[in-house]
Amino acid sequence: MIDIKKKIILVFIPLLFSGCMEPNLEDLWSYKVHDVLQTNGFARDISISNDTVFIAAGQSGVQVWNLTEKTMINSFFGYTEGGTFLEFEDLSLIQYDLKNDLLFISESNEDVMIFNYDDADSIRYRNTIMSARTKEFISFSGNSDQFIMYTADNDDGLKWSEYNLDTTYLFGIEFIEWTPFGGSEIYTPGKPLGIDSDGTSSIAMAVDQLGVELFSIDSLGSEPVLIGRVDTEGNAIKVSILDHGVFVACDNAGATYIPNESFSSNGLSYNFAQDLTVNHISADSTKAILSLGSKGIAVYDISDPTNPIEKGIFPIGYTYKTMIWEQNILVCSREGLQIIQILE
Amino acid sequence: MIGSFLTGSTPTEYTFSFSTGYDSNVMRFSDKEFDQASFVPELMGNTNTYDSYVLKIGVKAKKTILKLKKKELIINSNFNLSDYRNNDDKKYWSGGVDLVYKWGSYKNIKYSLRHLDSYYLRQYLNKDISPTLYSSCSFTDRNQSLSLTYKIKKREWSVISFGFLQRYYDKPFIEFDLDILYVRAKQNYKIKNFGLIGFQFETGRAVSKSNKPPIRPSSFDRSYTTSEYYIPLTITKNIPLLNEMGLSFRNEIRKYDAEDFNDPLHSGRSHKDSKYDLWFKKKLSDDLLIKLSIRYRKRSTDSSYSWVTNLKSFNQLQTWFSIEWNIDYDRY
Repeated sequence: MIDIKKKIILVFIPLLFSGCMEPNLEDLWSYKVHDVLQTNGFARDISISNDTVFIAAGQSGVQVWNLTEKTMINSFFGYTEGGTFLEFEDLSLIQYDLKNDLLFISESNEDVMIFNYDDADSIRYRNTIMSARTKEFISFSGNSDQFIMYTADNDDGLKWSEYNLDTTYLFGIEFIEWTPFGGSEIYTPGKPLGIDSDGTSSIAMAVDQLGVELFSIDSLGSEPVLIGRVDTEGNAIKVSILDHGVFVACDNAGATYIPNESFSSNGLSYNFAQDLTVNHISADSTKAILSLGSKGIAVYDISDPTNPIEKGIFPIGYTYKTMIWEQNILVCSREGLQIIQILE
Repeated sequence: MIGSFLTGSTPTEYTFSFSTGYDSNVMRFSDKEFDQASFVPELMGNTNTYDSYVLKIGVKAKKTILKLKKKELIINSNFNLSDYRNNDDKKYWSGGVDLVYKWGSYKNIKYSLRHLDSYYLRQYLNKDISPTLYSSCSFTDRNQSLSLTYKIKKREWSVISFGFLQRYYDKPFIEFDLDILYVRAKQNYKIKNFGLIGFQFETGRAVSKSNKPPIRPSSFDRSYTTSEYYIPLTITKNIPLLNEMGLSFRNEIRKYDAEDFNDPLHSGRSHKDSKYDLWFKKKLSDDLLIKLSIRYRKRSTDSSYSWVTNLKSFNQLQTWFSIEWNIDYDRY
């Protein structure tokens, strides 16, 4: 009888395993956090040059990190001008120009400051350009000792200029400045809040309640020509330009995709993520990353940009903006700079 | 049905049942949600009522496939269809198979397999993709257990069970999937000229995989520890008009592991889920039985967030009337 019992038990055990079921699968994407660079202060904006990342760290000023080793190289709470140390108040925008060793930074709603930075332990103030109420800027290196900058100026419109290095000696002292050469302000009835450009042929500018304006340029430094304006749902606050069109962060109306041809013809646009409040958007050919402030980020599959498919909301902390960098996403957040990978 | 085609010169016993019932709170709404539902119609899904009339039909089959003196190998199976008539989302089937090896009275070992298919809970916010989109939430259970029943004394026997319950949610709520391991012990006493009383204790551990990498949207830890006691009292003797009446009390205490402040719905949450049952049975003939049963359920949730306490506590009343018809089928 004992033998029979043993045999019966041996039958039951395989039954226990064969009765299991498989879980369902969803078409959502997942993510992996590779690293978090714990900045002092918030990570508000970034600029990458090779494996160095420059971070606008809000009230902590500028931080320079090595992306490969995940170590902080330098931190600047302020700068010296005329023998006086001046603290940064709240940095929100940053861009590095490797060719000219220049760091462009801007306080919230202020003009753009130029600093020289060449791996040394200090930043050297040069001068201030553009004007107050600069909401976003983008700069491209031109010839040697030259750059071209475009700004979304909230009260002036699209402001742009070419800047050249100007060195003068006075009483044996070298004065270095970057002075404007050409450029202009292009009026818009809207209130510019964001700007992006491919640096070769197009500039897109978010103009708040009036939508998005697209400009064409023949080359860097040539006068931008307005192609057209497309109204969006809600307030257009930030733009991300791709070959075929423009993705727009529309605040509490979600996000919108506008194909290039819509600016010159029918004004057709594709609104998505309507129930999200989107502060910023970054995109490549397959995915759009929407920054949602306290709710983290939302990821959309934009393989067909006219039909974005939701792939998940990731609560990764308060997010200001993102940048798609190689296979990863760099997330500017209150927790610091997060390096995450989206797994499709 | 399959049982009647199995070998073994024994009849197959069938029981057909038909039940009607009423559920006062199909979607397990809290008081707060009853108030909310008029302002947020998406909460109601495809229904207009909180309660529902329920129809259920079922069939059970039992067959001894091997018999040698006191030793028997028995196969039991059951299949049920349930239809909440006033709720289009809540229609499901359930069923199962038992394989029992018996070597005496109250001496057996049993393998049970139970399946509950797409059991609808309610509409929930699909936070994976939207802060405002409600989707239908349902789950499928696959429950397997191995039980050993052994007679201790003349009127006393024990049952000890080990089980593995897979609770897998339908899309889009798969982040709530759980693997639940449990152990259950029950002691039964027959009381002379009265009936039967039992004491059961069960403890289990539900493991969530949602919080393991790679991290999907709303990857929170929904693991919990559960313990439950159950006391049924069945009276079978000296009852006028009836053949059986009974009452039982079941109380589950569940404590979630979550401590993530991003997940206030589960963080530091626990609940006490109490079920009070009362039933009456009457045999109309040797083959025909009717049963009336009533269940009152009350879940009290404890959380450091008062809105979670209010949201996750509910009361429910269910009543059932069923009729069962037994037949033996013997093709020999």
